[in-house]
Amino acid sequence: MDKIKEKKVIKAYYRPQTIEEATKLLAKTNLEIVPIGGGSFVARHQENIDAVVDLQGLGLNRIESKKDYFLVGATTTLQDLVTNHALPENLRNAAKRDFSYNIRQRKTIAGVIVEKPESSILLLALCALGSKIILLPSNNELDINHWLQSKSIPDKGQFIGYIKIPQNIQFEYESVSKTKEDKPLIAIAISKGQKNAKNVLLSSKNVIAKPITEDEENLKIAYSQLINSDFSPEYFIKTTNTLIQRINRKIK
Amino acid sequence: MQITLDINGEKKKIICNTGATLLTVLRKQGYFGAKFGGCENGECGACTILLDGNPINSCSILAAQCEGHQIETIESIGEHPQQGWRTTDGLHILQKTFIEVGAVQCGFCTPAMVLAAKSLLDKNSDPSVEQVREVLSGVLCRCTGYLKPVQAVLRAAALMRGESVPPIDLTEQSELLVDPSIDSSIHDLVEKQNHEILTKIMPRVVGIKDTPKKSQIGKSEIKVDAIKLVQGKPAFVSDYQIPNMLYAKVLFSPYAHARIKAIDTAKAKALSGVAAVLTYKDIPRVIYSTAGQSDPIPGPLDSFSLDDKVRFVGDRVAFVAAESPEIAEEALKLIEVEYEELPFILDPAQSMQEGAIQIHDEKEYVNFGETDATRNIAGKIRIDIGNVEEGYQEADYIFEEDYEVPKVQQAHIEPHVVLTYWDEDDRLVIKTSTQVPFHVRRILSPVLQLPMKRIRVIKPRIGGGFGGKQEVLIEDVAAHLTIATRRPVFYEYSRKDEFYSARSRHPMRVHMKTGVKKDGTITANEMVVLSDTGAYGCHGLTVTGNTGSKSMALYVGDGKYRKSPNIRFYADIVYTNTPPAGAYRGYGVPQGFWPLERHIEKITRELNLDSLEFRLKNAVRPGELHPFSTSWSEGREPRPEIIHTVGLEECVRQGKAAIGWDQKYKNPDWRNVPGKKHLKRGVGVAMVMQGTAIPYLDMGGASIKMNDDGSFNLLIGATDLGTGSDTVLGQMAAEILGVPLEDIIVYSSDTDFTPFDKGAYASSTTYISGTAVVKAAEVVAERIRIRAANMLNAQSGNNDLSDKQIVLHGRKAIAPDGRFVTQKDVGYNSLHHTNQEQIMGVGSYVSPVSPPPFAAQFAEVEVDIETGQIEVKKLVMAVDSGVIVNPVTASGQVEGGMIQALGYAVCEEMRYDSKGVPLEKDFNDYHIFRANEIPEMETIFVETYEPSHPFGVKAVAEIPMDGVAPAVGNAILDACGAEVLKNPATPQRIWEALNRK
Repeated sequence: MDKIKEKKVIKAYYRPQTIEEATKLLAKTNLEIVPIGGGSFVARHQENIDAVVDLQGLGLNRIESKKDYFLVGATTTLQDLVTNHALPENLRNAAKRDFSYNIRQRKTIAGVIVEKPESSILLLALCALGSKIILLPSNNELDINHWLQSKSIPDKGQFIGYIKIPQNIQFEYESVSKTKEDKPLIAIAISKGQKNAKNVLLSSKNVIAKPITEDEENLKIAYSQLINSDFSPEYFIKTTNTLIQRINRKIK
Repeated sequence: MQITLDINGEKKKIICNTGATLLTVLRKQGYFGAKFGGCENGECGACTILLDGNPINSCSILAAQCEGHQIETIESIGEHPQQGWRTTDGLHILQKTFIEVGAVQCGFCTPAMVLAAKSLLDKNSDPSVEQVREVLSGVLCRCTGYLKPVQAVLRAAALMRGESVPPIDLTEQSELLVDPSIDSSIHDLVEKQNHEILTKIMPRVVGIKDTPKKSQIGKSEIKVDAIKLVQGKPAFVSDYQIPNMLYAKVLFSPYAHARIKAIDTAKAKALSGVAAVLTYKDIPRVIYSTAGQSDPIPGPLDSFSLDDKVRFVGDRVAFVAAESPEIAEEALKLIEVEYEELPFILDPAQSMQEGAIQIHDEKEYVNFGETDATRNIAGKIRIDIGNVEEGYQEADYIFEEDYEVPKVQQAHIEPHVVLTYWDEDDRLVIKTSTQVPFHVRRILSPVLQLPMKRIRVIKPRIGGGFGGKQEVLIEDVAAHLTIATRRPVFYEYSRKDEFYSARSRHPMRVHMKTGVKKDGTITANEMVVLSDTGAYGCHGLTVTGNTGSKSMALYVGDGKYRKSPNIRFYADIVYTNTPPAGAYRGYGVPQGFWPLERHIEKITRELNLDSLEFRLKNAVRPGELHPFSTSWSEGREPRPEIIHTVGLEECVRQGKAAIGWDQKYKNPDWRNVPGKKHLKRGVGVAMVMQGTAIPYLDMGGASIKMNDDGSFNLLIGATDLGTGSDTVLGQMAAEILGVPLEDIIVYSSDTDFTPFDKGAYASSTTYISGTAVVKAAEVVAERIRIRAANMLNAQSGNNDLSDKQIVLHGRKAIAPDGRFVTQKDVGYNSLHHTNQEQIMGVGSYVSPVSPPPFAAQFAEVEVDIETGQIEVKKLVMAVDSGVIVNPVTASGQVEGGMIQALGYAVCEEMRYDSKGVPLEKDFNDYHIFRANEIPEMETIFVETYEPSHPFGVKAVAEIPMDGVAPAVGNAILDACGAEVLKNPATPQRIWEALNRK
């Protein structure tokens, strides 16, 4: 009977100082072992976790501006994103929108990517910008949109090291919510890359950064994928189109 | 594992579980300033500490992660300035300003807000308002509405910069500041008011001319409990730890309606660390009502601690007590239950239909009034005042409409929490966060099969209640488990439990019908209500009765209708298989004012009448009979009652000036937002009234004891749930006894030691308990005057001084010729020197009347007509609550109430899926306002002198809930013509209403 109790308790905590060390720990095949950044999710949801590898000692909390992209360390907190003036203002605002001030102090960018919170504006922004996830130690790059839609998880021993956010992509978002700080009912982001190709993405309850087009049939399909939505299909289609038009006016 | 934490500059070696959160570790180490709000993902922020100078939620980080970092808790930043012989720096400047400006209400989240503010001021000594709001936005507060906390931080920042700040004038009563006739000054006025809101702490009080100056009444004294609360002292139930304590959990029903065919607890009981598992088979089957009301309960008896039937998703199935919360949780999973699913009802319209499943078929069911369990009727009200049909015939126009109000939750940040244990005399002690300790004792006595005298209920500080704790909701769970195990048991709801199993505001469907003459005279007014009480009938009758009796009393009509109004109020209160509703601040009245004030606005617009004049023309006036007083008294015998004070006209005058009514209402130029065609602005109003206590029923008691040094112990059964009632009652005692408030040591509440009081509900504490305090103080004052006269006569050798000539003032008993003895002299004399006696007084009070407070509430909104999104820009409340005892704490009630009510207006709503499972289960789903999104607010007190109270007071705590939603609804209508009939006014509802136009 005590097995049940044991199952609930994290038995080991590790704080590696190098990526190699972290990789070795995470590669242990006999344990349910997970990497943590801020720890805000794992602290409250410990079911079936044997051990945690705290990444805070790896120096992955930096934001670097490269030639045509930003390299954001996995343990960079949302508040670091909000206060870093080198980042585009839209992205900083998006990082501010999902979580309250206290939570932003600990919640990391990789944590948001793994946790996939409902109606996340930050994920919408990262997808609209065509961000990539860089896994360590392999340095493999994954498209974030693909990651979110496919529910993939890194292979044993791999963990998210960086997020690569392209620069020079024009991006805007609009949303509707009951109050300024309530989570969005509908959020739309549109980005325009170097080839002027537009990318229109929708986030809403249980849908994250889903590519859509403005035609009614497509929007009806998108609506049908929402669970317990707070609005009717008519409202969804009309409002989504309104938001798209508003963004288009800004993006021109 | 062993970790070393740097807590408040001290390195501490701590052994803890690897998965322990920092919050758990801190509280085990005695740092109780970090509170647990029951949330799952750190939404509430009550557990805030500083980690390397930044505010974080200690519930959402492993303690192990904090090694190598600096942890700062509230315990490190300041302390009470008086520490005996030890010198101290006293409180932190932020703690001082939080206290001074009235930013501490229940105090549960105060340490978190102070720490968050400190993190800001440590880095930025001159923050903007937006920065302050932002940093406070990580902490949810349900009491203050955030205005005063923001003021406290700005004031502290100024003081820390070495600037002088304007004093908080503790005694000034500002007279009329605004001349509403000066229309052209509106823009300056708005700017001025914006500025004032940031710097001016005192609310505007339009006082009564020529009233005698009081030393305490009208003075914004600091709250008597503020110093301990701002330090995060262990003052709440969950702060008390007892050795050998068990943790309780409850297995809740996954079905909306089912019979328990079989239940097997063997595996759960076998789990190591489980002390007890209880089902309906293990405890006495006693039917009762969980409603915390005076005897006899005005509603059906329809609840058991545990039953063989469940009636909603979240109903109780079994209780578990274990050595840890985690083990208790695991044990729940091992209880095997075989359910027989039954048909269920989620829509109240189906409850009374032919062939509907009977939700309460238990043979023990006890009816009250016209309850009829066979038809799922938990209550029925039929009130006809005058002749409504005749009134319709006399009308030129008839207006009819259907409205709807939602189920919403109190959302106090401290969840329901209780600790039970046997004391050394084998008496059961129930330490609980309750508004009604005496009702808890009375109601649980038969349920537990313990004589009342063997139960002691202690109420420590309450982290917010708002009616949610006027329910005997979880005390029986812990008590049954303590009886079963002989051990202390602690039980605390999680936030999810609150949404699944606690009480809420009754949702209602309301039909309005009104007859009006061409001149705007209301000839008849009718409200028909379908009220959904959920699975149990607690408060169903009385809440719904208030819906009609408080709101429909406001508009009696003009002319002959004043003496003989035609009013109809019919209501059916029905059972459904949803979580039960109950008491929530306003107690049914907000449900009445949404339809009434929306309907009144509809009439004024369709008849093109002046919105404010139409309302005032038909509103009840001083000296008139309360129209419902002869037909309704919360299920008891009604008695006629005259309304003596109505400050509505002045409230309208003040409120319209503050909102800029004449410049904005129906003004197409102002309505348009320059450069933003999709945005439209509007203003709206709602006039409201409430009640003050329940006449001839609810009793308050107080006792006062004099000490050697001239201080006094004031013992009250009244329960301060953050409202400041302990302070206000202390001020009343101090006024009578002629001492400063600091000489009154207030204690509430303990059924063993404090006099009986019905508890905190029905806006009654200041009025009922306050009168009891005054009566007790007068007994004490008389004894002091007698003794002082004797002492002065003995000093002079004459016997010419009578006690009637003695005045108590400034800690002295003063003779007309200026001779005096101090109260300390009297204290020593009475206890040690001459004809020794304990000077002590007891007072109690039941009121024959329930004088209504009145208010005019205004809202300004901006509506996005393409998406339906709304932003409320400003709220104004001008309120007649009689004489204001403490303007700062009273304005805190108004501000906090307005923001709660704003949630009711625009975002809060509890909904269920097709199987009755709640869709809202935490503060992510159920949004309550944060500090960085509150609108501008203004509070104006329009004083009247209520003759039935010794100091002329009426109620203030509930009325702010009544008018915000309809004022917002009316402002939306003004902005864009959208007639939203169901609140909250969500983007979709506004959009749909726009499309209906």
